[in-house]
Amino acid sequence: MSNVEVLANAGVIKDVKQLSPEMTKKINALSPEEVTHLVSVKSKLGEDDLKSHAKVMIM
Amino acid sequence: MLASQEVENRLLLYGAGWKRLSCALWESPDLSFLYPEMLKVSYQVIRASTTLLELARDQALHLAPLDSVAAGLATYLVQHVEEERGHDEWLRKDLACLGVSARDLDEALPSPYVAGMVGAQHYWILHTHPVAILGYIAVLEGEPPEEAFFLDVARRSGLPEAAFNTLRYHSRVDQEHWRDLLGMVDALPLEPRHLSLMGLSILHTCNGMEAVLQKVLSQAEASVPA
Repeated sequence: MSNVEVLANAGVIKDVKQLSPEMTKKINALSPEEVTHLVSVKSKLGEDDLKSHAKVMIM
Repeated sequence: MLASQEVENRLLLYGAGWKRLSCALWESPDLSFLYPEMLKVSYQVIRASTTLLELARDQALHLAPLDSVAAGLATYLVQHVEEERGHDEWLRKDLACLGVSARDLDEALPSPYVAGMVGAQHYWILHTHPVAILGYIAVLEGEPPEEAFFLDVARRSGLPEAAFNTLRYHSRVDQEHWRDLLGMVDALPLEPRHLSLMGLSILHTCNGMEAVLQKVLSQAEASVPA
């Protein structure tokens, strides 16, 4: 099972059809440990629509 | 795929939550209240930076004779620790411009979110591999904004420009720091387990930032009279 399928089954990805091919490739490149943690914390995954954000905390 | 691309992909995938909240903070009509609150939390995180980087550097130096990733990391961290040293004092000065006293800062109790975000790095550095710190640095130092943005925020909020000095400094130097970090990541002989650890570190730090920001934003909601 691919990472995308695992995350979709866990409800982390709501609509697999809306994922771009590029996004699908990036998610499927994540490690099993990361996918396991994503499932446990139910993190939302982002598209690159926030390039204009400015950070509030900088090291 | 280059390791630097792996890092940038994860910043994109994992950073959506805290970036949205970051936008909400900067666009808030309560910015004059929220910015000092955010800066106080930033101080709680950033004051741990030098200690954290020194720990990672020392652990990398310890492992270096038998570990080429640790050896390359140590070379980078020896320099980077000095670049980050003293920035907590700068934040104290920025906060003083906003009327926040040293006593207020010293007596404030940091949230479990701050402790969890920073504390996880201590664990990974000591008990897994110091390369974890690169995920933390990537979140806090990557994707630096333009200085003009902070000048605009100062104007919009009515807060003194001097209260943005630390953020403005970083917006100038972090472009170079970011390039240095990505170049160094590509030069390290990383194995999948190193990249996975860095990925977990990025994910955990992004989640920590989201929790920290959510708490700050909820303070503004709580401060609105019913």
